[in-house]
Amino acid sequence: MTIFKVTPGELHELEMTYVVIPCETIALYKSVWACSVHIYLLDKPEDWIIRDKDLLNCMAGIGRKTLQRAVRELKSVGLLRTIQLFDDDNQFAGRQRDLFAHPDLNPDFTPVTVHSAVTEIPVRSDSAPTGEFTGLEGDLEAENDPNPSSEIPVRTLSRVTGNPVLRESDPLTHNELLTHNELLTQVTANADDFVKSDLNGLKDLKEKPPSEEKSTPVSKSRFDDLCREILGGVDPSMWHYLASHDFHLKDGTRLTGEAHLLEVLTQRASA
Amino acid sequence: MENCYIHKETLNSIHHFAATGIWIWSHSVDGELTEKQVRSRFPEITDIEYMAGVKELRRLGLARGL
Repeated sequence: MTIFKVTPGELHELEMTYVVIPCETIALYKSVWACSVHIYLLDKPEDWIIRDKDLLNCMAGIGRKTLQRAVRELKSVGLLRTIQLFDDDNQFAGRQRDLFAHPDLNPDFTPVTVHSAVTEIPVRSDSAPTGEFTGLEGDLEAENDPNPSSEIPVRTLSRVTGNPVLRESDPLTHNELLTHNELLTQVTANADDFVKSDLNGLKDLKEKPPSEEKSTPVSKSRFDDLCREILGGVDPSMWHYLASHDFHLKDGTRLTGEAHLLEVLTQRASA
Repeated sequence: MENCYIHKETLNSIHHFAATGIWIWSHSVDGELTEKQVRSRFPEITDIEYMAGVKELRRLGLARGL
């Protein structure tokens, strides 16, 4: 099939209205569903509220799951975004979907993730043993370069906003590399602080005095009865209990179970 | 930036998502358009969806021989 196209001039002469869409945007579509949903919405007025029900009604052959998939795809390439709305009292007031003709128009969309950018930075083989990131060899040479601007890689400029767009394959400038280095140092410092606080916590735990929970308030007579029971062999398991517990007597004195047990045993032996 | 100009009335007359997708994409390519090219561009499209889309385009007089 041969493709016959019309120019905007021809459409204008015929008094026909048309929708303008960048060819780059068409190249971003991965599925016909995303393509048709995006074009359908681009044709709508600016104050159009995007509703799933409307999309399902107007397009034959598209189901709810397919529509969700198309919306996800459009979000992933930056052609659609969902923002949360809040009223004057900072209460949640709903969600709003915004559509863009090109990803560069979407202020929330960043084509490069931090993770991929950091992992793509090559590290010098002769880096310092302290683990400090020393940067790219080429950028170290650039520090001594009298004309450092010659090392700055060329950035792709957005045709819509005019701002530089950082692609995944773009090399990083020296300043960008320093920023990454600072970020890495900050993350490492935070991790060290975390480990230090954890170790301090363990140290505090070791130096902490014995818990008062083991102290049981009893009367002196009850304590003596307890010792007699143990010595009489009523309950041998109570030996361990008595020896391992401190007893806080009601008159305010404190008795170590082990010491008192020794004392009673000594008295008994002498008798 | 190179743009495509989509005729509004024609766009609104297409009521099948596969037909819309194929027709829109055809604006950004030059030369001949074949079934193989369409399937290569949209690999997830099923046979039923493709046939329904082409049928819709033929019905509207927007495609022949595809």
